Amino acid sequence: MMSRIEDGCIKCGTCQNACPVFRIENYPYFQGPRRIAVEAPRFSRELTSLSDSPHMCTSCALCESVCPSRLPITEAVLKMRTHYGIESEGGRRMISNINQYGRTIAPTSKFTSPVSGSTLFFPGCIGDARVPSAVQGAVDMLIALGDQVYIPNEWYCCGSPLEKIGAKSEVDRLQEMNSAILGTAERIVTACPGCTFQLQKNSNVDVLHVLEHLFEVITPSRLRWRSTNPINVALHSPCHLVRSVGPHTMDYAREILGSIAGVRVIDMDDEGCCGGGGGVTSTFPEMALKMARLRVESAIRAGAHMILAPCPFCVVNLRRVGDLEVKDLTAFLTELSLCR
Amino acid sequence: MPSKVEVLVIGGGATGTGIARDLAMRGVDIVLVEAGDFATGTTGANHGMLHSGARYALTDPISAKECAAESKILKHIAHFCIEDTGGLFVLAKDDNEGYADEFLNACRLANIDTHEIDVDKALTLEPGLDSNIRAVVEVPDASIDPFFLTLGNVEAARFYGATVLNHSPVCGIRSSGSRFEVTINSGKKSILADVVVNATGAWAGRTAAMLGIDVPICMDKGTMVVFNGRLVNRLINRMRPPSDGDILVPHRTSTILGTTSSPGSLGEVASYSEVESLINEAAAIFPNIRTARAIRSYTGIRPLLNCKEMGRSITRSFQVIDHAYDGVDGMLSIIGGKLTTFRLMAEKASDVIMKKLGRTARCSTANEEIILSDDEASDIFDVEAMRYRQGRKINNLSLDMACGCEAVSSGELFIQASSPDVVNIDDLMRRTRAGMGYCQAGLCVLNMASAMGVGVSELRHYMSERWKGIEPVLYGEQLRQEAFKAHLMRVYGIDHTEPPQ
Repeated sequence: MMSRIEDGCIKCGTCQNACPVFRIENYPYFQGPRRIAVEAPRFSRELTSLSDSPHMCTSCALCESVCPSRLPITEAVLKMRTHYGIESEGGRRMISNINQYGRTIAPTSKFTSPVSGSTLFFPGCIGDARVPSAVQGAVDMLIALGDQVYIPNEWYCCGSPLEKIGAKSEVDRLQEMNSAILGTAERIVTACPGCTFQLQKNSNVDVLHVLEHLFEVITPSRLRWRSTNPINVALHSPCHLVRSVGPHTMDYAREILGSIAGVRVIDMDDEGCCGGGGGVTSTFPEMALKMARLRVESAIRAGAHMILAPCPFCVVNLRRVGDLEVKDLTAFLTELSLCR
Repeated sequence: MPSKVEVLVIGGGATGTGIARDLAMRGVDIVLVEAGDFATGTTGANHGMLHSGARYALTDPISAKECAAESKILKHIAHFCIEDTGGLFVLAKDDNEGYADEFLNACRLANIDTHEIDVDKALTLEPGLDSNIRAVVEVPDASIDPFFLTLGNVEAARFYGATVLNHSPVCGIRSSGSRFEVTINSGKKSILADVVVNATGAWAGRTAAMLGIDVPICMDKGTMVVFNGRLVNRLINRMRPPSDGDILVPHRTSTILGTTSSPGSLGEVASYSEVESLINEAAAIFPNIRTARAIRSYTGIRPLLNCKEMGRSITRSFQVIDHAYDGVDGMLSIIGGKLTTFRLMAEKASDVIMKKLGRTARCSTANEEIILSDDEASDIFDVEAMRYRQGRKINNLSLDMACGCEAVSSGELFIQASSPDVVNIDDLMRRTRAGMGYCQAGLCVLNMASAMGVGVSELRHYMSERWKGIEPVLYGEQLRQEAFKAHLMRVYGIDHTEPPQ
């Protein structure tokens, strides 16, 4: 029956209450998911004054996960962005990098890795340029586990960040550029939830987050970890991993960490978005930092010595706070190294 | 309030307030009294369509010409409440193809700027149109808000010195020498007037009867269905002889489908069969209408003068009746017409009144904007929404969200609620659109009640009145909405589906 997202809303307000951006940015500067996705598209001339709101969404999808009508709110917010085109400085920079390098950030890292095999490890732009330890760590670990893993010589942005700033034509172009490179692999593994979800949408082969690969393909029985000095870690749940790839991924993460002697996983007071998604780190860096600070403070309150996040975007944004060590989960595991 | 005036206008619809504005601009000493609130009769039940005239080009060339000229004038003087969307006439798959040529010809004769466009182009402009349509003509139709138009007239009339009163029902009129004595508010107040103008639309017969004059009015009922959101970008008309369910009007945050035409009486509500037939008819050119979310229905009475022919065959042009011929000199009744031609009707009526008063000032309503509209955009959504509603914006308002569907801030509610014209929640709704969105006041009614400082019984009354329009479209998503609303209202001990007490 329902044909349009505007029609499915019964105005319960659950999405507005759940939105992590709405907690720190006040109405009417930020208008909240219901206004952006559901109410606003019903207007016409007024739409030009929606200004920053659609671009402030971190695309965490908490809104749609709590919506009793199961409306695809995030997708509708992204549609509103397309409606306005690419406005932000960060967005323009991203497009310019895509045009120059085929990546959102200029390539910097050289990884030690085979260039052919059966399992293609997709580094992703942020992993490559900002958290190379997560990429190298994952590759090293998988090789150590006997996997035929490789990083291709050439690869381009998966398109996920461009989709989030509303740059539809670039998304299509990148998918085309990547298709020959990715098409030859038996399986694709990434350490980035955004890449995982984006590549899943257009790929004929299995695309797995590295946690899924460890747990489902390599299987826990083969994972034996060396014990470590006692450490309390706060495990941050990346929005795109939990809600786009699936909530099982965090169960895997907890189980893996739980099997390591010395590691204690500390619960933070609530689940929340780090502020690193949806392109807001480049468009609204101060807002993204405010959101990250909330997470870090929550971890400190809970007595954590370190935050672990299985997502390079979360790692980069949480690190900006500077009050607590933040590590990519895969890099952390690799440093502990496996028992033989 | 003066106790002696030159002219007393009864009726605060578009016509009455249009006359008030016209005469006040000519310097006439005038009072207007309205029984309820402004624009609550035929005006408020309007389709929201500013006719280019195309709709009447073949069947009623006089109306068509009037509309063609007047719509151009209104786009200039009332652009604060008009969205110049343009319109399309669409030939449905099974409708008579020969009609298209006749139609184009008639539009040309009536001076309406029309041209045929490719079906493919029309489908890109309006993706919801049926892909089997066979011909499309572009016309200069537009969308107009009858509430704000009328309120604009009131404001302009007051600016030029008129006294304009709502909630002032007339309870008696009697001749007193060469004057009339009109009593209002249950006899609490009486006004002497040289000329009385009966602009009470569907109530014109009752008003005239107070002076023993017979004005035979036909009540022609028209039902409309309001859908959530903008289903179309421009007005979509079905290209065939005027019939039921022919027109879709994009209006503010909604789309209005209309209309029906059948004998009716005051106070009637829409029937399920009318709603069903409207949707079935519209589906021939706009199939998605079947799955769109209807949020309410409403009905209006077209007061028509000639009872021998009913409904659509009666001319939609208007008549100014001088009751001197009934032996009551100084009394006029204005009957018929349409929203698009309200200014012309007011001009014609005012010319007759000026002659009776022995005065000579000319009409200048076509040359001046009704209210000075504010063209400076705001970068705050709610303020911009206010600017498009009120024709102007007020800065430094409290911007707390009061009505999400219509983007009304609590500041806007409080400012409107403080007007002496606003005595109940309905009045506040008409001046802000709070409560007109898809949740049909489910949430904002509490904010409106608190802005008004009224309690649960007023709230209950308002919700019950709203329910009359919701019940006939209770299917699909709106059914879920109303179930949720029932739970919310329960907290206040209110059953919003109960008939008003």
